[in-house]
Amino acid sequence: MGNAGAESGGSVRDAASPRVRRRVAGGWAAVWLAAAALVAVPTISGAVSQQASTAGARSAEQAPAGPPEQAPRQQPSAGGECDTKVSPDPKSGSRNGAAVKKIKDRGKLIAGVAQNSYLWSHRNAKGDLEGFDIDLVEQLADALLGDRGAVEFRTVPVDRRQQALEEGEVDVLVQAMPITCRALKGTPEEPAVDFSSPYFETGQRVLVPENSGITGFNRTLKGKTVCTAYGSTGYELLSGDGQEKYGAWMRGRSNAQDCLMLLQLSRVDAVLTDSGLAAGLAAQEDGSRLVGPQIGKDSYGVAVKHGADDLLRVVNATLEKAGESAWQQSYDEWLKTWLGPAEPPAPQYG
Amino acid sequence: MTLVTVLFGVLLATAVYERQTAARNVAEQSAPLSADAAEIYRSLADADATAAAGFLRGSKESHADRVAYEANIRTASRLLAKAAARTGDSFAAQRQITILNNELPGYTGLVEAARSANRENKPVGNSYLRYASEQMRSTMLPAAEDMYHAETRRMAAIRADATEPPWAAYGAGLLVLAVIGFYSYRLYVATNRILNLGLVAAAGAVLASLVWLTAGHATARSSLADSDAHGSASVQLLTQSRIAGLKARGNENMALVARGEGAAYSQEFDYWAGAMDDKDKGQRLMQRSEGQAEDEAGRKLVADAWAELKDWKQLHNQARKQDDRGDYDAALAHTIGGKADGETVTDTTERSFAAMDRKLAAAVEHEQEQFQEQAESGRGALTGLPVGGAVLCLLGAAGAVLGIGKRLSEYR
Repeated sequence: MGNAGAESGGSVRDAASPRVRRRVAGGWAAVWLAAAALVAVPTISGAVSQQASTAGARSAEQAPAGPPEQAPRQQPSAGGECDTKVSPDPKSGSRNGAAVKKIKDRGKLIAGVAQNSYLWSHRNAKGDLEGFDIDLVEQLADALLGDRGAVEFRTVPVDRRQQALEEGEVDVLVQAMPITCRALKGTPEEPAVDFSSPYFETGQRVLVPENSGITGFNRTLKGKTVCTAYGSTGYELLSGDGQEKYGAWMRGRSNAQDCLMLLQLSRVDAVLTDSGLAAGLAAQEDGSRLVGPQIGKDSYGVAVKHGADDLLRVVNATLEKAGESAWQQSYDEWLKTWLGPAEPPAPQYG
Repeated sequence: MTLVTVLFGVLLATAVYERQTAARNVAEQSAPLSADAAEIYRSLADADATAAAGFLRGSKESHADRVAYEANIRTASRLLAKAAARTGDSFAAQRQITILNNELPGYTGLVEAARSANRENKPVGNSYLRYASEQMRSTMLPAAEDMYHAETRRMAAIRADATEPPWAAYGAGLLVLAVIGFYSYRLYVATNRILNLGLVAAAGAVLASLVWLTAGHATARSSLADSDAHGSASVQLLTQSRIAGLKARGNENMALVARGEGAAYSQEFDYWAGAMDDKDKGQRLMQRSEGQAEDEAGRKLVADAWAELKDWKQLHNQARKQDDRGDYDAALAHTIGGKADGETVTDTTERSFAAMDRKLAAAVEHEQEQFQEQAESGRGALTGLPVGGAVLCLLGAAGAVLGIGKRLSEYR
């Protein structure tokens, strides 16, 4: 009676767009399940037994009560085959073309950065951005303009960051962005971009609570619920080997940060994400640790507008120079605690 | 015969009493109940918006943000407890109340977790707040909305009771008249007297009370219908406008909380803001509210609110452009206040939204007063009828007894 009547109550929802209506109609089962899950896990602390929380997480997993606004945003990141080692050698040509000139005339580098990526690009208590990516942007400003402070940070939304490059709203994107064929080739929604040589090498890592029996991406995942971001490399890994070989349950969220929350709420048993992000998650939760070896290999690069080779050469030259000491300093400051010692990645030019 | 007259009196009194009770139910019980349900719905949507505003201000979270959020949660849980105690017979409402009671603690827990992570400057706080908001939108607000509609339907049903014609009393009245006619005829045949004063008096009394009943009922009915058209219908529209406004505000704030991943929230904002006054899509809540307003004062309040809405949308679009361009600080300052480019922004979307919400709240109050007045006068039309009708019927019965008694005594 309640549902039938609600449809005719002259409600705001009645005239809802098809999108909203579908969500409401199709969402009932999910809503009830989510409610059931919440009843099963009434507290938000870790006070509930591991078992109960796993059950709750699983029932939600089987009928994903995921938020409508957080449907898979991207297709799996690989985006087919291509040669990712195509960045120009700094010595191969001009470092003072139109793109670089534009920045020099402006006297300021406009950098697109994230603002919610712990250890990489995040606002500190004073509201200033800080992290590994921010250090790199400052080195770029120094190389281009001779002034580390000559930067304007723009926090461009992730879904239109490539657009922002294409339209010249930002000169570079430095936001822990994996070098993917998808971004190199572009998609109907996102214009193609070019990448620098890698400035950080990463792979998938497993983040677990301190007392967990999980030892990595292996058989210890059997029957455990693992959270990962939709469309990420981790998502592919989990839906393949993770489920088939290791018997893990999987739960997708729109980003890895959400997975940390679910881990803290003990609704999932582990988080799978790349080491860069995983370090940022581990740093926010003292009661967690990274386990097992790195799976697969990805690289972060600085993205510029497609065809801006002069700018790429400056960026690559800056990375080479940073490899001498600045990279190490920055790594030690932000990431070493969580990821252990590492060396700057070797330049890769095409 | 006396019995029949007395029976009529009883039926008349009961019919009128029932309608009076129903009219009183509309005014005293059901209307407040649906108003409470609307307030639960509103305060939850408000909590979602204020939690996000407080989060955005972060360490600068003002006392006012906190107080507003807590007041909303308290209002919601107080009214939920009250509704649970009162809606005994409404299953639909009870089910929604159960859902809301189950979800509310989880929601506030997530908001507190978000707040403390935010104070430690950990971005995971952001996830907590989005998760909380997700629970609110996917489960709690729909439940509150359903509850509100269940109560509104109940009010409509009670109102229908109050306006149903008192058929039983009419039937009994006619029966009494027929019986009086029959006895008059019998007396006429037996005694050859055309008129019996007692019976004429009885017939007169019954007729008078029937007329009174009909007139009283018609008045009550029309003023209850009036109260529907001009009171609660406009209150409902305004309430929907307020809630649409709050949802839009919540989405506006959450788009900034999501920091670069808020496109979906922006779309939701457009949807709810569009529901309020877009000409070709949405529900044109503002236009309809203005049309429904009873008097000049009511229309003025809606028009003022509408003007603020237009301001708000304009400022929102400006802030959205700033955020899309990557100028988060400016977008933030234009949304919740603060400094952008070294200057304090005063013309914020928060100000426009708050002004609009205040005007709408005043309009709701204005219309509600009118609704109360109408419902009161609906009851007024029937006042005195049960007693008056009963007295008239007793007079009629006495007349009948006297009239027939006189004839009977002649036989002795």
